[in-house]
Amino acid sequence: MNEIKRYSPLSILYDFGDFIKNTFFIYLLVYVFNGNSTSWLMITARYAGVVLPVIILLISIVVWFTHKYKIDETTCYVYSGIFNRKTQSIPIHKIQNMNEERNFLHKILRVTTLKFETAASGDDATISFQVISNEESEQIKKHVLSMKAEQTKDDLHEATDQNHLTDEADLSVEKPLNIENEKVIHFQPTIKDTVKASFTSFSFFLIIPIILTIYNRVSDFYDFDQLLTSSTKNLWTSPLLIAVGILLFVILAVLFGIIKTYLQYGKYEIASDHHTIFIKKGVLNETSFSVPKARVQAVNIEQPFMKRILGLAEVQLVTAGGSLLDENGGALNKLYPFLPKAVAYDLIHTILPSYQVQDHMKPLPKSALRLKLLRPSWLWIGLTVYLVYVRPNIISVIPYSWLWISLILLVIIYTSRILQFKQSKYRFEDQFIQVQTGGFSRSLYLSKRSQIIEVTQKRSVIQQKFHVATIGLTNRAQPIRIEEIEDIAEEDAMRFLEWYQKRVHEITIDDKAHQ
Amino acid sequence: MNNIQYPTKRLSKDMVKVWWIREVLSLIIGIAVLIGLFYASNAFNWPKWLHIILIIGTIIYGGLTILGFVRPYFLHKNWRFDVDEQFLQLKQGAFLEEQTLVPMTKIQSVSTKEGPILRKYGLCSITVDTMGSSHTIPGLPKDDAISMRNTIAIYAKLKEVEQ
Repeated sequence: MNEIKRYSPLSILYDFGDFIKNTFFIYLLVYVFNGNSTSWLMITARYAGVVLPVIILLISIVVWFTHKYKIDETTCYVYSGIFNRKTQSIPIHKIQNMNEERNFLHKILRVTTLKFETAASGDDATISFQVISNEESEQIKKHVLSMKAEQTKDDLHEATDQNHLTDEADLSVEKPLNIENEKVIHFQPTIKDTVKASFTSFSFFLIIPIILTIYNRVSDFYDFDQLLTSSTKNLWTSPLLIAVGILLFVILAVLFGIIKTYLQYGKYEIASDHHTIFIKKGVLNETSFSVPKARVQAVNIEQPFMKRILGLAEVQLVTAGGSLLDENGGALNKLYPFLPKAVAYDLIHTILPSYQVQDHMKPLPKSALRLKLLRPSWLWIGLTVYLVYVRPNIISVIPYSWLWISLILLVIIYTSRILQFKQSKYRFEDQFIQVQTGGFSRSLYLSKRSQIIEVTQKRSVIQQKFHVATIGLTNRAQPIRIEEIEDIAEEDAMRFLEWYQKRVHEITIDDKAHQ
Repeated sequence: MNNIQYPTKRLSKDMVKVWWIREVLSLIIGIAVLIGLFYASNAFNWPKWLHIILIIGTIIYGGLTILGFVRPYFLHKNWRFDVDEQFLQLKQGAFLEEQTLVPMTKIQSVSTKEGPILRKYGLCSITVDTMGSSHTIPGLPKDDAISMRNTIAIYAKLKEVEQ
């Protein structure tokens, strides 16, 4: 792997294909719809349409000649630039996670874009190999992972010396080498999962905006009012036809929802080997994400209201590397977002043996409930003052409807506060912390003492009176992630600071870093 | 463990005066802006509601200014910090008491700063940056600040094995 390499020559084709993909409609506009136009703009455009592809082609050839990369035992180098040459280098041990992207064009050419993310911010935080063959990508990934694995093994041995190790890790050290790197697939959604996911996400409603767009486009050419002329009028008033029409529409909507969900979540794959977690997803645009287990900073289990009712959970791995969004804006570091809660908990324990969701957590003290109920709600006060002042007649049938709105809001706010009290739970034992918060929704956050980079404890005057406090913990992520829980017992907040200070026994100091 | 629970070092007493001077300076600017606004309101016949908002704003600003002059005393009274080999500890605030623990190994940089007002009293502020947050200890005698900066720099040089 030590030699300097060029990207795949297919990158020229890829760039060219990308150009065609992006300009296809402009070409259609210039050569087909305005093919006979004699305006100066169209004539210029017609010439430009011939010259531009040639220029793009020449540039991509030059780029292919000048852009190179090299990977050795410790570092990745990427060379770029035609006139201003630039060399980017990232030490392998700084790589937090690896992402692969394969869109439609990639698939046709059987190539991949591979990205390495570090925890740094700015332009040099990411190294990306624009267009390389699938095999090459696999090879680079394997090389980096094996280099990283060796490093982790060293760390593990150091940790064993310090006799601070969980049972699972102890076992794993004893395992023979060949078992260590077997990749196991833990989860792939079945058709049933996809159907369930499509209903849970209400994806069938998505058809409405699409139909409206189509209607708008087509109505430019075709007059829909013609359908309502006298000759067809009888058809539209027949109840049977209307029923059939509605049924067809519902089936279409459901089918559409399922297909949409399938394209997004249908080909999820959660896998792991001894050191690394792999998440793959997408049907048309494939993305894959891999992160070494030791680099997972925390795990967040989110249950929005609907999912909580249905017993589903979203699991997100909190990681320090950047650009974690795919083309649809979905988070790459999320496990399948429609997992049943129990399955999700099992999965976390399987892929991250040192993490385990503990059922037994400490609730907030009674005084916290009193405080939560006593706290003024500025939202409610603000809205009520406004309503009393304006007295809008929102629902004309019901007298004093503005008063009802204020009352309903009050009930919702207080229900949410009682739920907040019931949901808030915490536990910090040994090296693990587990914090549950929420109201109508619920989130459970798990992290390790050694991965937390800062802690705070806050008490307002009122909290001091009620002997409660707010604690916060910070994890590395981009941007950093701060998790807080309000109104826990005062003595536990103190105990939390003491607990955090014991981290000094768990960390290993890097002898090489301070030179 | 009690000494660790509550950090003990305090800011320089002169810091109260520094905060007062800063308050006076911002008050001068504030008054200038208000005079300008009231003048404009009269000269250009601003609508009545805007005039009322301006008066309410002035009253609130007056209240905040009084608080601003009392605050330095409380800030100084409640500010505590400590540095040891393992942690930087900060504790501040009376109405909202806040205590922070930053491991030395996570500190990325440390710097001292002195503006003209701080210099007049021979003070310095220390700013500590971590991977995502920044903490400032507002006013220490210059010699103390520099020796503390150096201490933090030495402790912070050690980095954990990045797992």
